[in-house]
Amino acid sequence: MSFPAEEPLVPVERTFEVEFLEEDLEEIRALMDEWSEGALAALVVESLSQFERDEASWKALETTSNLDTDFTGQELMRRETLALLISMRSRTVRTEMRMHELGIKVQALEARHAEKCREAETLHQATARLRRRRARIEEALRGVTPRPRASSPRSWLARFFTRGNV
Amino acid sequence: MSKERAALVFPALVRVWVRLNKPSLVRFEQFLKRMGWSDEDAVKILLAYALAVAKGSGLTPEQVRDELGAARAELATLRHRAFMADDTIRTLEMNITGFTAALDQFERSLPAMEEERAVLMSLTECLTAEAAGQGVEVTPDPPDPVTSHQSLLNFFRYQGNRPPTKK
Repeated sequence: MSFPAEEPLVPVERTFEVEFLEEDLEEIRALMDEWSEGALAALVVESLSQFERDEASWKALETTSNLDTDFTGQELMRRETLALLISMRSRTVRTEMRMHELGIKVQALEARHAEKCREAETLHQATARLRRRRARIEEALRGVTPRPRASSPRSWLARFFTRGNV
Repeated sequence: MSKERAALVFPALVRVWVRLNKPSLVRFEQFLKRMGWSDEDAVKILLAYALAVAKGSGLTPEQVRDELGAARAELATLRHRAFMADDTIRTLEMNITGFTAALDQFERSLPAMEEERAVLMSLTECLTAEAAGQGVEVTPDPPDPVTSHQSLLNFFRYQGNRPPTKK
């Protein structure tokens, strides 16, 4: 008994989400008779075949001619470079947009931070002012014979112990 | 820069969905494995490749050379811009982490400082009342000492048309 050869697990279908510059997508759209996910998929498959054919041509050219001057070689390089360029445009813009959004967020955080710093500084100054005032009053009071305070349970207890009752 | 302005500065981006069925997917995955590209990059490059092929029809050798040079130059510029943006994003993310941590710390420390001020205020009021009760005269508050650092800050605030720190 033999088992069938193991096939790689490939889902029935898969949807890819991609992003382009609007103007680039308009040009891609112009290549198709109709606009649908299926038509785009057909274009991907057709392009894949073209890419593989061009790859084979490139390999053949590598051994037979100077790629920097050969017209076919230059055309193949132009195709590849332009394809990379178009895919890179949207990615760069997306990254720059993210950078811009983060910049706005940082500005807002910086403003809040500056506000909190001012608040902390104000509190710090007020506390320092109160400490200085308290020290001055205490100093002034030290120069005067203290008047007995109104009895509080705590001061009564203190007097009780200082009189040698224990 | 506001969001409206950002919309004017950045070119519009559009998302599209490409659905590949099983036979296409098998071929596509083999291609991905061979090229070492990510799924989305591969779909984008292949769609763009179709456009690149279409744009090349009827070009003279000179035009091909010019187009190639222009595309290489733009690609180099884009790579530089993307690199700079990625670098700035890293810095901004670090700033966000730092500011967020500092603000969290303020959330904890400010109430404690406020409480300390309130306690001191109450204590000072009691002492003031006690001094008044004993007929002790307390000298009025002298102006707060201004350090040279604060003085310099005030100078720059003045230069920048900002109000100086009140003392």
